[in-house]
Amino acid sequence: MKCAGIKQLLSEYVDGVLDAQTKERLEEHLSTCVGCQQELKELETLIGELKAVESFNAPSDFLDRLHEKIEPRFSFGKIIKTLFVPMRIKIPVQLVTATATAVLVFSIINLQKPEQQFPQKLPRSVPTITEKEEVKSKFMKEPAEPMSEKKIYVPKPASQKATSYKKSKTGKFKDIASKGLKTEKALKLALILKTGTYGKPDLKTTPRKSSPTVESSTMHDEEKKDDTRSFLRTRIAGKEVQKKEMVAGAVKKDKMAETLFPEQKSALKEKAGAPQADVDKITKKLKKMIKDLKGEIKSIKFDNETGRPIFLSAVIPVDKYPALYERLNEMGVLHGPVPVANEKKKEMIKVELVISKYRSR
Amino acid sequence: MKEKKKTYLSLNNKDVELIKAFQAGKKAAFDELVLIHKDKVFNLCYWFVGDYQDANDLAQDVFFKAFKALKKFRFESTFSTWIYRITVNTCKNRLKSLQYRLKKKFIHFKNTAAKTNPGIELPDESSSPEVELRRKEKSILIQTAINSLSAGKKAVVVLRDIEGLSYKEISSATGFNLGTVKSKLARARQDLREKLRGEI
Repeated sequence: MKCAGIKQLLSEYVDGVLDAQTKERLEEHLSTCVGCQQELKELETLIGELKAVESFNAPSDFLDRLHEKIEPRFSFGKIIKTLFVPMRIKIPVQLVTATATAVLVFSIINLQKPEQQFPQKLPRSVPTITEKEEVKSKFMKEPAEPMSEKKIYVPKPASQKATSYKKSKTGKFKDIASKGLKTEKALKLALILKTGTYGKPDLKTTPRKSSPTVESSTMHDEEKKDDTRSFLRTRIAGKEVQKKEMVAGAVKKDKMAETLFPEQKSALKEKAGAPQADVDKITKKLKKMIKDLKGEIKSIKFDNETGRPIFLSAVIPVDKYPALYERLNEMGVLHGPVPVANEKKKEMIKVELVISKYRSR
Repeated sequence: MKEKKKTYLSLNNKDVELIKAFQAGKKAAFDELVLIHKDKVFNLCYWFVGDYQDANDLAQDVFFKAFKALKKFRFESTFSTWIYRITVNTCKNRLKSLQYRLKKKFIHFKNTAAKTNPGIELPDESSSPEVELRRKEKSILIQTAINSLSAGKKAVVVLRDIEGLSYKEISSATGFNLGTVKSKLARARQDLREKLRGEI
């Protein structure tokens, strides 16, 4: 055996893992070879040194650190596990995405249609509508505009800032408080009658965009009348439904009612079952009031169902306005400009009074 | 094979009991296993990387891996062999990592600039006795020489000459077959002898 081969076996020889035969041959060589003896000596020294090197022990807090690593006190994963559904219950990503998209689309659509919510936002206490007098004469002759394009004034109590809304052709409501009442020369008043039979107006209704009366207005006079009568009968039959209609719609119907023959009108009133005595009393009272104040009634509009007065237009002297205000205030809850104390001008002013809708028993 | 298993079980009866207890749900059993084996694992890590803090981090990683895998332990080897294998693999991966290489380069540069031994930090030994100083110096020289070995040779020589494992155990711990262990060990020792000639 040569020295090169012996040197390769020395490591195993030192460790005592050589088989007996190889070991014997190696020992024979070593007994004669000084170089290999030196190699063996150095190897044994090295192994001795390696075995003698100091061993390094783990730090004393090793276990504590390990515990922190295994079970951290604050772990984001732990919070997720506690708060949310276990990962075993897997929600399909598609389902989550579809739900999120649906919610998003729904909310965007709702945001883009604020006008749908408008009727609910109207002030419940003052449900009145005024229109220009000119409309009255033209009502049955000219094709009426859809309700949505009419101006709707909603006066508020005098103490508050007057607010009204307009729905434009584009379908958007605009605050026309600055334009509406200020530009009108007539003094606009709203009266909610005190009597028990006269309840609060119903504002839960939604404005009608186009009423049958509007459609019928385009017909010839005779056709118009016949059609209107049949329409009104239908409307009377469904009285309960009609009560929930917006006041704006009611005003138009009232105009139409004025175009009917007097006997038809009274018949309608009877059918409607309105408190006729009360109605007449109120009308007379209003007429007398204007007369006493040296004023002149320009027009009165009645509800075609109940025959009640819902709108009154009159001209009175300026100095009589406080008296009118006071008298009307006695009749019920009045909303309108508060009279100035020392008004001594002798001019005539136009007063428009909207009387709130009756709630017939 | 059955005899081999029986030998392992008889030699490491306490480890087996603790592992079974852990697998039954007693987490405290793992703590005992850690306390028994932490120093060996730490020492091996230290000789692998040559840095106390790195060795501590590595040993933590080793036991963390062991904690996760212990429920699947099938008693085909002893726990110590199993944990050594995890240690060797973890250390090898660490040595391979780019971050570690860069760190070592930086330390080497610093030490060269300070005219000290490359790759290690010299502790302050001014107050130690002369003998202790010599011993420490030897330890550092050996450490430096071992660090210069390849990962395979390093694993084999540390496991055999420092940790005192048998060839078979080294084979199990490193995954090398017995012949490879023998040859790698012989070459590692030869390399060390050449590096430390005249120093020890």
